[in-house]
Amino acid sequence: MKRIGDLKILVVEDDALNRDLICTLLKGFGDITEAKSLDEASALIGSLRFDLAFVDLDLNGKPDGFKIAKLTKEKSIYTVILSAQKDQSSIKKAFEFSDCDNYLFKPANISMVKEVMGHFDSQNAFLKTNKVIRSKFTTSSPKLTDTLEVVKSIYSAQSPIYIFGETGTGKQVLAELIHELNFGDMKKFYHLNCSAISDSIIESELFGHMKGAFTGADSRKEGLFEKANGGTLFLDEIGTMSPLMQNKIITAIESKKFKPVGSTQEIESHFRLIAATSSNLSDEVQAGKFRQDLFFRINGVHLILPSLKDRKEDLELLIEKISQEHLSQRALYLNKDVLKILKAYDWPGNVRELKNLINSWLDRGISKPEIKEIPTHIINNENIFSKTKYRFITKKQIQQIKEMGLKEFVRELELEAIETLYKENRKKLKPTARALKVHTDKVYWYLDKNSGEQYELIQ
Amino acid sequence: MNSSNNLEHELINNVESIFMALDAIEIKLESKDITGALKTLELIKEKKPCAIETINKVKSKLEKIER
Repeated sequence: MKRIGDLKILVVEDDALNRDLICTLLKGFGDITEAKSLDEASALIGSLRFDLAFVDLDLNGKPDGFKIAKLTKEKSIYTVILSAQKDQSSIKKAFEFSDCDNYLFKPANISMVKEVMGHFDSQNAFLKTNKVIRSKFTTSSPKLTDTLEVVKSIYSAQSPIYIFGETGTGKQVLAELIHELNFGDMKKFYHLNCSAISDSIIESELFGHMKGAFTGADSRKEGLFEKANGGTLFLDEIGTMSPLMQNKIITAIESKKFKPVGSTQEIESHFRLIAATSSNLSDEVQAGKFRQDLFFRINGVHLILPSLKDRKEDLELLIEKISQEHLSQRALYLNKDVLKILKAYDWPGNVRELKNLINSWLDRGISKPEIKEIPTHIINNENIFSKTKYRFITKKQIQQIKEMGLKEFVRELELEAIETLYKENRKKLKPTARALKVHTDKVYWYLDKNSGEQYELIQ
Repeated sequence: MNSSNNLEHELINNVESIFMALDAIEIKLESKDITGALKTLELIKEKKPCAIETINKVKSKLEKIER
């Protein structure tokens, strides 16, 4: 983010003495470029980049300031109108006609300029924050928006953050966002996924070790606790950590002091801890699998990332963003039927799963996917990650039962089964009944009642 | 800039800005910008005839009101 002192400022004022005054007052806030007329200002705005513009409304007897303010606003330059007019109607007119950000009475003094610069600084920070957030999260969902609003208010605080969200909801993206908003870049962001790695590796990664601490420790290794000093340490899937490791890290998190393996010397490190889990950590605490005191230490600010099934309103926005980010830059068109299926699906793998699907289409050069290009489990709304498997029916069918009632569903199912086997058996009733293990009368009754066709009893 | 027929604004533009320019001179002198301070003084000098003209206009208008 550009700081006050490094700003590029344009001053447009025809009166030499007023121009000299405003430029003197702005000295120290950044590089100042002066213009005396509409033509000069237009040329400068077209060729150089400015962060702020101070524009006199009346230039050489003409209200050209409005035209200049329009140009500066088009380029998203924070625009301050300079005017000697102090009455409300003039101020209102200036804001309405120029869409300016601020209004400064002439002749200005240093406290007035400082006030304007303070407003610029806060608005600039606000806009930059929103821009960084938008680059990471695409949403119109109230749930996710609420979470991001909390992020805006806490990103620069020191308290630890706990992120809870299903797999693929963007826990790491959120952790990176918080760090970037706080530090302005991704230096000093360290990440460890604690799932599926052994205690010894976690210990070595976090604490580091001294040379000769154990067989194979040929040199000193700096751990993430040490590296993250002055930055952020993101521990993903902290809930999978063993009780032994939980015991080991609690002191380092609490006191910000730790000893590398094989060292007797304590090292102090001040890092911002962000922890995340895809399972509910308070349940793990209740089950005695996660230390309650560690939970309290990491749960400073609790952020929840909603699942994609809880923010279906974002689906089209996300598809657009994913396809725009794809290397092929290929346009993607989803027809109504395809979109309907995607909207009905629960997306257990969340945004990551959606991204994989869209990218797989684009990778294969598919710009207008048809239903046949959608994986079956998505069409049937089956959770491929679910441990509970239905033996006979799909999740989509469960939904249908809820909608039409069990009786009607069974009737439709029977009819479909009978018709299918009837066709397979070349429209012969007896072989159909044999295949269905029912009496021929039942097959005949069903077909006669439901399709209105006349059937002859073919043996 | 001096498009306004309003004498009050002319006063602000011509007279008050001269006084405010003293602030500019003070700031420049604090940062040892002698050349800048001299430039501002020159600008005040250039402004002075306009200011006197405006003062005279305001004065005659006020005298009319008084009579």
